[in-house]
Amino acid sequence: MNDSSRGRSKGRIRAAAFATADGMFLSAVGAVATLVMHWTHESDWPLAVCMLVGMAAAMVVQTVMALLATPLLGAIETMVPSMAVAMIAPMSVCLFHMVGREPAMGEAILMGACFGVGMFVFLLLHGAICRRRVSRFVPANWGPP
Amino acid sequence: MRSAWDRRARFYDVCEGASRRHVPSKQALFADMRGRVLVVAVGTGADVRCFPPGLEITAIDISPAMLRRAEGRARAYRGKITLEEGDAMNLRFAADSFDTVVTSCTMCSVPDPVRGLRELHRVLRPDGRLLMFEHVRSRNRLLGCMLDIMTLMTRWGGTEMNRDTIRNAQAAGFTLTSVESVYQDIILAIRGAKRRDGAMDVR
Repeated sequence: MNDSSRGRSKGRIRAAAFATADGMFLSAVGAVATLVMHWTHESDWPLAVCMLVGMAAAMVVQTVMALLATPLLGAIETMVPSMAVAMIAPMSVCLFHMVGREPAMGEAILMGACFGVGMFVFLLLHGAICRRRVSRFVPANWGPP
Repeated sequence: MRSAWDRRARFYDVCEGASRRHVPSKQALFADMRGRVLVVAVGTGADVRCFPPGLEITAIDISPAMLRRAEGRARAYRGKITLEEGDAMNLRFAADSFDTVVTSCTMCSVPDPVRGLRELHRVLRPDGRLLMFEHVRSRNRLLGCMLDIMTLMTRWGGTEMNRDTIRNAQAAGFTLTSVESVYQDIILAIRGAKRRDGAMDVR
């Protein structure tokens, strides 16, 4: 094996390791954020209050988890997608309560983890599209943000 | 601003996991360094390991505390790195004095990025190279929105996560030659050049 192919395979292993860690991190954030919302709904507060308090608590938990993961995975790579997961995933618990069904703790955790995995898959696909398109585009045609 | 970065210097390397993650992308970008090189906002010198050996590099930063931390890495470099205190928006160098200008996650923290980039354009020789490893606002609505929300918080510390550095570089007069995705369409490796006629390439 020459230096070039050794470098390529090392690069692939490195990318796969970071991708695995990203996926685990996002599913953990989704699970914990949804669990926090589930616990909030266990209280006797009105639904709107549960949603607001649960969302705020989920965002705090997400920020702490992202800050803890930053030294390993990077600030943007943790903070940006996990913020989306922590905003969207807990809403699934609220939706269940709105239609009169209370998910069990295990169901809530599973739903949150699924949202995390969903975001991870979205990032994989979007990342692949970006690598193809961004490398080809003419900077003058860069559209408005 | 200087004191804010001085305070951050102690924790800067701990929070820069991304610098380890993107070492191969940075090495590929910085491999294009040629001749006399200016590195703007070198920070604690975390990127020095990604620089090709044997170059004459002038590295500036607004924070003396960051530069003190960068000293060890600059000494370990197999070439010559001169560390200097300096502001990206007000460079003390003469016009056309560098062959390559490099930034790495710099333009998010320069108060007036177009003015800063105009300064880089001024000190770069005609046909000189601009190499930027920068994060920008995503064009994806969800990710772009998250970056806007993050900016509401990071702005207090002088960092904006949602800048359009591509347009800013063009507004400053650079002709961009390639843009590569490093992470989504958020972290980009940008290559540019200063046109020989020195004309501004404003769109």
